[in-house]
Amino acid sequence: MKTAFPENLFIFSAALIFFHSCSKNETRYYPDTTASGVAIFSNKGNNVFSCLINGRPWRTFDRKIGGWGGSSFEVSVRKEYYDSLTDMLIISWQGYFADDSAFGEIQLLISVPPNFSFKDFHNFQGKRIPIDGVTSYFINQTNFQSQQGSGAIYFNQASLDTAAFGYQGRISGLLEADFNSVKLTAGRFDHMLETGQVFFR
Amino acid sequence: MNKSFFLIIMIAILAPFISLSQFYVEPFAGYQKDMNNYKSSFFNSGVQAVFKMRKYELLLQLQKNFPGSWNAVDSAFTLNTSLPLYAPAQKNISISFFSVAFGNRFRIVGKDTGACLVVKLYTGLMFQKISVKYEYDKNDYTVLNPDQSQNADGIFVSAGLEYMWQFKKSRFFADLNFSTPPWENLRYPSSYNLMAPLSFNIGYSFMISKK
Repeated sequence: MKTAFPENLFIFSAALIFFHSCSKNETRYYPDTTASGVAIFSNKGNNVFSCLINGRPWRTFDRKIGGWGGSSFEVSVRKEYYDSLTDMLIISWQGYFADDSAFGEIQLLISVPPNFSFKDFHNFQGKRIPIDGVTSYFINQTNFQSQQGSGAIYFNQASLDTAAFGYQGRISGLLEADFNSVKLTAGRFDHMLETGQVFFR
Repeated sequence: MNKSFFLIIMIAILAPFISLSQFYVEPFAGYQKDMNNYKSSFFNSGVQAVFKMRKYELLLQLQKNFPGSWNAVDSAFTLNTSLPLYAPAQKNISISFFSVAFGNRFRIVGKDTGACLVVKLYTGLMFQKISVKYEYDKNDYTVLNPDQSQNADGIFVSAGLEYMWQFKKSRFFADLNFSTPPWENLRYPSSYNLMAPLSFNIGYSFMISKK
């Protein structure tokens, strides 16, 4: 019995190291040398969104697959009930300021009809969509407060397909938003979407 | 790899050959086609020191190209609704390289006088610099999947065939040589690859000292 504790500790440590080493970073962040603080605008599935919020670089967390604690995603896409006439398509990015690691979130809520399906998501591809700030809007929760704003988004890619346990697809594009005192500029996103990131009611 | 360390090793290896062999200096120049980027071609020049021992020659080569460039177009997009969504972004890609290499020259056909055919094999360090310049409305548009300027250096190998005309105290040669790119990955995803030059060179061989 005297040796049981160190043996268990060894096994626990080995398991911890094993699971941690299985974690895979699926984000590739390539800094844009012509615009400081943001990643390049890409559509290769780099799994990153970056922008400037009042000039401060903000980016999403790295996507981690597997390992201790399970997978963590930097973006999610979901469709939720809003009222009897409309649903909301919600894209949420979780990240942090480069000079402050505190968790923050940026959301885009686009008003869609209730019969909007994953196939209709493809209609956004190649489109530049104005966000009026009322029926569709951005939410900025990067600084311990929630602000609603207007702006615009361009989807270079927008596609969803059914997969074994849900949906998968990809989104990439540009966005900017105006929250009155706070401006989001130079936003560019590029994500592969896996099951576990997409939820359609 | 530590470049200074590599150069010291090269000098240490060469030292015994200098006193035991015939010594030539060979300036050369030629034309290169980049087999990894088909739009690019270059003029190059170099010089090599040759230590000759019977059929075998040890070479120390320095080579540099005159930067060549080509133009291409990428796609740029804007969120500004008063402007067209898409605009072409003109880009100019320029690649230059410098290399320092050890080589071996083996005569496979021919004798000490007259014409002969030789095989050349090199290995060394290659330094490549890729410069990318864009021309577009940078205030309103953002380029999709932009190329970026970057440098790369690493070990390379090359091989070639050479035809040589031998005179009493000098030699004239023409060769066709293929080099691998440096053994290094680009740091950014790019539309271009590291340069792998196929070279046609002519050169002259001056005897500096006789054994």
